[in-house]
Amino acid sequence: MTKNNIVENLRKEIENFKADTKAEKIGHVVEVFDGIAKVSGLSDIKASEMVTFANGVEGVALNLEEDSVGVIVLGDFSKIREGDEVKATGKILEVPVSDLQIGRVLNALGMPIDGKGAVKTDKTNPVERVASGVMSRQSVDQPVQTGIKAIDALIPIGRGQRELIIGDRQTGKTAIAIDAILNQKGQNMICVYVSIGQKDSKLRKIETRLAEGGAMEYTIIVSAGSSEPSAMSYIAPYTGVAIAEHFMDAGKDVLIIYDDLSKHAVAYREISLLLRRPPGREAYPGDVFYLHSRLLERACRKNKDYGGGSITALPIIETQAGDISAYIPTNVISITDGQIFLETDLFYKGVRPAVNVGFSVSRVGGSAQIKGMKKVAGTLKLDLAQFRELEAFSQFGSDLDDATKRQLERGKRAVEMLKQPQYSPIVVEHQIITLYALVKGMIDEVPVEKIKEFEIGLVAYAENNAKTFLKDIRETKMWTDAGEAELKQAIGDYKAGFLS
Amino acid sequence: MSKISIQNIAQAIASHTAGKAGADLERANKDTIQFLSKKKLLGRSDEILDAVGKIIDKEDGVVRIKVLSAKSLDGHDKKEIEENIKHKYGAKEIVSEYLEDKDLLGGMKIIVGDEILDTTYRNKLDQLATHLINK
Repeated sequence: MTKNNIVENLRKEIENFKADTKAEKIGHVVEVFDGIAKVSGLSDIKASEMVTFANGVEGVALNLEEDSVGVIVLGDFSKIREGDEVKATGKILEVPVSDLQIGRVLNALGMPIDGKGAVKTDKTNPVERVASGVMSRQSVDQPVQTGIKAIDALIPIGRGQRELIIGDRQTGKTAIAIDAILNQKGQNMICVYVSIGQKDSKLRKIETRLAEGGAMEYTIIVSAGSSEPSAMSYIAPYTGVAIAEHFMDAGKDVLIIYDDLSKHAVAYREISLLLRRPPGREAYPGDVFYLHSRLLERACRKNKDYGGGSITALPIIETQAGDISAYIPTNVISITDGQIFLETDLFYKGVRPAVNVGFSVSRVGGSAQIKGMKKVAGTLKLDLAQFRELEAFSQFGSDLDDATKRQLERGKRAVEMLKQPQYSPIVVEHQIITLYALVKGMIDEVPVEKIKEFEIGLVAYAENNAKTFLKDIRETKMWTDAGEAELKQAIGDYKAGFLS
Repeated sequence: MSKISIQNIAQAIASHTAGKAGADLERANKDTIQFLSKKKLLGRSDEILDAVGKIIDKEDGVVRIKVLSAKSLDGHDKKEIEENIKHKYGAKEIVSEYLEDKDLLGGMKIIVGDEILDTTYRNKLDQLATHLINK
């Protein structure tokens, strides 16, 4: 832009600018500490209304008391002084929403922080919104393919479902979420990844990984870093879902990940204690259940009359020493439609993703699976449960009957087959091929240590030799007898070649 | 036991002293001071008296305004402002305070309780600055 242009643009902006003169409600800062300001005046202020401090920093009124208002400061509170003027804006906290936010990294207020310039938008969505009512909803029956065999086969997730990912630190919770995002390429899904209180280095790593996998083309990252005030961590998931609702209202499917809600609850506890709200169990305030229920209830599948969009939520909860009966984990387990439980022991045994199939459940179940997957996954969960039981039992003696031995061998192969490296999601039709071979006992003769090699080879072989079957699954998602016969033949042929 | 708010205390003091004069008022004031001393609230007496003042003003229909302007206002302007405020707030009486502040550049800023009407050039310039920064 030339100097003349700059002057010309400025002149135009100034000429078109109209100052807004209206009566405003004002208050004064009585005290300010740790990101909280107590403000006198501001009569008639609404709960969650935005206020502006003298230095331009914004805040949200959370506590409406008789003599004062408790405000959380959304920015640097060190420059706010006692006696400063505070203006009520008359607006409930809103964040900008736009299609242009796709591929960007935003802060908890929806402002870009990736250095790629401003996102120009006039539309805003309220951060707090009542979840869709019963009449606008539809039951969940479309799958979200995560590309992870253990999840797509055993704990299927549907569009509009809320599935909790729970486990100790370093068990691969974020890895599952990232894999699920990576697998949404070409699946007509917008992804929103909300990072709450995470290290900036971890977020950077995730962003780079998503960009490398081409996932930033359909992903928005909302971040409240660990160096930011806890008010930002408190707001971030609501901002994420407000953005997700923009796409859902336009009839699109959205996958939102909250990483993680344990830190969100801790941030809210901090704010609540500073606002002098009475502490309850584990010092969390009384409304910590409502904090998460009102957030997760906004995930839903709308019916056709309301655009047919959906928000699928994958909240993450970090447990301490595998204790899923702590306060926040039990709360979120009861709110969500199922959980994927990750275990440290399994992780160190080399079972990755370390999903404990026994403790994990999806309350939507088979209705969110395509027919082919439903067909092959039907008995897998039962097989695995029986295997775990027999495995423990078999440690006491070596004298086992043939049927038990067979079941143990099948179980070992199933565990091996469900192992999957990070960042390598598998498309559903390939998952079906390998799981079909497993549940039909067609790989019982393949040695356990060669299962991975067999699996890779089989998929490549089937691509050329089970074309009708693959075409049926890809195009119509249907399971036909002819297709099944072709697949069976291909598996048999490949196995014969592999074992010879 | 729940905490008694400043507003509650102010309300009680206003009711206790309402309609009293002479020796009765003196006794009521003494009671008030004794109560504040007993409750260790003398340190917050300014805050309480402000609240009592607001309650009495509200009962009497008195509205207090503060007008800040870059230049001093003439009698006609002042009268017009007071008439408008009287009309807007349904006040019986207006108690006004006029202050000069050259930093406002032009226009005026009227403060009524916790409501503010800012028509100053300073405010307009601030709004323009915010608008240009956000662009």
